[in-house]
This record gives sequence, C-alpha cells and structure tokens, in this order.
Amino acid sequence: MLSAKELLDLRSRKAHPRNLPTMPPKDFIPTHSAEETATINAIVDEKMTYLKEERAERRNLLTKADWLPQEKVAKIEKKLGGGWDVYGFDKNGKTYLQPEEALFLIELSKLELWYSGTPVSVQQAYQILLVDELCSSLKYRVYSHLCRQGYRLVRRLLFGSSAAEPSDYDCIPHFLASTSASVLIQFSDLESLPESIRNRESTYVVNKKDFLHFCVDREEVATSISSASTTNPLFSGKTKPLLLGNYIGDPYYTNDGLYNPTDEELNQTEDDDLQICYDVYSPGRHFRKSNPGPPCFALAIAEWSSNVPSLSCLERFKRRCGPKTVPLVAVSGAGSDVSFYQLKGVVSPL
Amino acid sequence: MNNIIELCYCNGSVLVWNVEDAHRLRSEHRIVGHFIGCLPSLPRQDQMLGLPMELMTEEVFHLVTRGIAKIVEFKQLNLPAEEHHKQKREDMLKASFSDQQVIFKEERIRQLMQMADKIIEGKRRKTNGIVDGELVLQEEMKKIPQMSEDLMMIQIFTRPFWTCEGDVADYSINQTLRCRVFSDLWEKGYYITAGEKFGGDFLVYPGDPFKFHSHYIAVCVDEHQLLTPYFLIQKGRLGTNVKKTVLLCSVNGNGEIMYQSLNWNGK
Repeated sequence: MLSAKELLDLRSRKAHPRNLPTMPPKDFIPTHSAEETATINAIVDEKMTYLKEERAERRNLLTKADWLPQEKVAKIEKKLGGGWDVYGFDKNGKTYLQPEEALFLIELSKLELWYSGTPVSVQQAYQILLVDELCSSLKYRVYSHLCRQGYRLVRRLLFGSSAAEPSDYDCIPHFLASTSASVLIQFSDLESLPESIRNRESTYVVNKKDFLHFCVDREEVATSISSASTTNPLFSGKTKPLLLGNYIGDPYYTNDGLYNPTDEELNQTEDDDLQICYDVYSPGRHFRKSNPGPPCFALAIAEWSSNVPSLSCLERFKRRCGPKTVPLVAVSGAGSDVSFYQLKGVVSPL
Repeated sequence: MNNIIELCYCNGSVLVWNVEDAHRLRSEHRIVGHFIGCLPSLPRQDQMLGLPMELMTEEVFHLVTRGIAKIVEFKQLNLPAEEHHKQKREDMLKASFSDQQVIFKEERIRQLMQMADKIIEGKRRKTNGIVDGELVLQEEMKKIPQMSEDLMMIQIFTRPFWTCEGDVADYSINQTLRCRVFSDLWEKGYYITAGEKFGGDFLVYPGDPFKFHSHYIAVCVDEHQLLTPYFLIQKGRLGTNVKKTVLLCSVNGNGEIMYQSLNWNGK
C-alpha cells in the first residue's frame, strides 16, 4: 500500500512523466571488470525502480466497472476520463467491456475493476480474466502489444463476418428489375450492423440513381474480375455488385491457373486453425466504435508450436477478410515477443 | 537468502509478480524471464514492459529442480472476496483519504509561507495602515479549502493487498531435450532467452542481455535425427545473416550434452 505522500507524489509526477531509462550500447565480450559489473548493476537497479512503481489515478479520472462472471463482461458504472470512443460496446444504454479491454484499461490505470464488492489487483485480474474461454493469455499478449502501439482492436463477431454473405445481395435483383426511382432495402441480419444504426432504422430507402452512379465510377474495377468468379449469377447483369470484394482489384485472383480452391474447400469453416480474432484499425483519432469502417488488418493468432496451416486454410482466412483488409497472423509464445506475418498473394513475374 | 521464490501459475503461464523476486532471479540466478505487462508509469510503449514477468518452461524447470523456486497457484483469487478483506479495503481507503487531506493542507501552508511577505505587503497597501502580519496569515490559512475527494488518488494494486497463501499448483514439467540443454548452457555461465524470433530454441548471451549481444542461437536436435542439407543450409545462412553462431545441441548415449557449431564459408 502506498502512503498518502507517495500517492500525491505520483499525482504530481503524472503531469511530467519521466523518460525511459537510457541503455548504454551493448558489448560483445564481457571483461568481468569491476567497472563493467558496476554498469550492469546500475542498469538493473534503474530498471527495477521503474518496475517497482505502483499504479494510481485521481478518483474523478478512474472509471469503475463491475465484473460479471456469468455474462463474461465488465459493466461500466460511469465513464470517467477519456478514451471511451475506443473501448467497450454499448447495449441497452449501458457500456460493457470485454475481458481483454478491462484488463488493458486496468494496466493503463484507467479502470478500477470490481469483483464481488471489492476492487481487484492486477494479479487477480490476470487470473480471473485470462481464462481460456474468455480470452487466452496468448490472445491478450497480442491484444495489449498492438494496443500499446495505438492500434484499435475490435473483436470479430462470430455471426457477422465482413465478407459478403449471399443474403447481402438480396437487394441487387431489385435494382435491376425495379423501374421505380428508389428501392427499399431490408437488412436480413441486423445483428451485424453497428448498434447506433440498429437502434434507429432497420430499413433504408436508397435512391437508385445514386447507386448506379456509384457503380459507374467503379466499373473499371468491377470488370477486372476473373472468369473464374463470373460464374456467379450476380456478375451476369450489366451492373456488377460492389460488395463481393475479396478478389476485386487483387491481381492474384485475376490470373487464372494459380491456386483455385473449390467451393467446398472454401466453405468449410470448421476446425480452421486461423480464425479471425480481431479487426485491427490503424492508430489515429478518427476511429469511432459506432462506425469503425473497414479494418486495416484482420488478425488471427497462432502459437510458435502450432502447425503450418494448409493452403486452403490460408485461402479461407484470406477470403474471410474484407476487400480492403490485410490478413495478418500474429505468433507468440512464452518468453518471446509477438511476431506478425502478412498473407499476400503474389503474381508470378511472367 | 535461502527462502524459496514462489512462482505463480496462472492460466497456463508461470509468472513472477514481485519485483524483489524478479531482481533475485536475475542477479543471483541468471534467469532473466520476459516482462509482459504494461509499465505503470509509461504504459503506452513497447520499449520496456512491466510486471508480471513470465518464465519459459525451461526456466521454470531449471529453478524448480534446483530447489530455488516452487510453483504455487492462488486459487482463492477466483473466489468472491471475503468480508474482512472488503472491510479492510474500505478502512485503508478512508485512512488514505484523510492522510491525503492532511498532506494537501501542509503543502498549501508551505506555499503560503513562501508567499508570506507578498501577502502581508499587499494587505498593508489595501488597508493603508499597519496590519498584524501573523493575523493576516492566520486568516489566509483558514481560507484553504478542503481537498475534494474527487481529486484524491486511488491506488490500483499490483498484487492483492492482503497476504495471500499460495496452494500447491497442479503443474508438472517433463524433462525435455530443451530443458537439459537450457540447464547445461546455464551451468556454463551463460544467460539464456527464448530464440523463436531468430528461428532457434534459445539465444545464448555471454553476460546480462541488458549489456551484451547474444553469441549463439541454440537449436536442439535429437541425437538420431537425420539432418538434411536443407536444414544445415537454413541454419547456416541464418547464423551468418545475424552474425551469430548456430549451435546444434543434442544429448549423446552417455547423457552428455553435445554441441556442434555451424561455420558458414560459402557465399
């Protein structure tokens, strides 16, 4: 327990955070001289003073949340301090946090998480939140690694993937057939819409002229789809759908004869090692959780010891990402940092 | 010091939550671990991380077989808090708030005293007469407001604020080839960290990794494993590219650890 004096010192220090310790250049061969030993001890001692620091925050900046083990989320009482555009999800007017968000906010000294009537320590939070069925330690390591660098990570919801589902195209025949100037669109899966929109409307009237105008702009892109994908009836009309984007504009797919998995292979989703865990958005102030837009990366997480995924598995992973989203695999394990691998189709130079 | 260090087994990882233990492991036992938490004072960076410190399986095996550490599990942390802990926490918070109040007041009085001459001077000018300096300061001190509780600091504890007894963890480690190689290299006086990012099993340092570059990439191979030319070329290339020596480590029939280094002469 920090004394009141230490707490108030910490408060004034927060305004002027000190820099990280500077590290002297590394050497190749130890000389075991007294001077060298002293240098090393000094480095270690300095690092330890940083590690020894405790967390504290002013009461009017520290948000309180209640951990609900049954629901597997933390319910926020009142949002204090900044940053709430990024964390949590809203439901029925309340904001909830996923386990990894709660733990990361605790580590940032922004959140006091209460469990059964008392706030938890960081150690207890690691124990109750990083359970495999909530968020594995491995996942959290990748999550916190990217969050520390400013990226925004949003859990990929299992029911709504950003790749187009057949039902997304329900409206397209209407566009082609209807002679009226506007078309009513009914979304078949409201769950996959952002909450803010869901509450307001569930149907949209789209002005047909706008839509076609948009299509004309993109005609060039749309027509570059390979013959392999034109077997899809949606592509037989004059107007090409915009949403089926995974392979639009990607030269890898326009060259026939590369890897062309069968539909069966692509539709099999069970037992895939590479499941998309997070949508990753680049750092910046423009991120809004109510309307995040297309993510920069779709992230799957693997362990160093896991097997290399099959080509069809990689392909499925790639196609499950949206058109503008880069598929990314993060790998980590005990004792090591996080490494990233980006999946990219390459066109042969000939 | 001969008290055994407690390593905390938590959801599949072995963690150290205590700075003193982390320090001891490093300086007395040459076990450096890997910090995975955010640094409390500068949490939004990746150059230096904070507690907890995670240990590799091989580090844990090494420490446990030597009797330096034991693995415990804090199962009680999964349970709802006990009443007297809740009470204790409330008392602590109350005491801390009233202490912060006192220190805040002291600090303001100190600031007031530094300005004392100016304050008295100002009063004198205002009233155009002689005023009692002591009295003016007394008045000013009375005006110091109470510190609002909203501005007071609340601590987020790294470890539980009550003394927590660890239970014996349900965790056992098999002595793998990696464990034996780790312990043998350690015996030779090296510092060892995980080597995945260099495509090997371990990175071997001649001294504290804070100060030295690693010399070797240790790759564990089974004694009877047939090595293909591909494998040798891969590792040889890897070693030259990162200016480190690749060590192929295996155990021979007598249980001794054998090391082969790869020297790459080609282009």
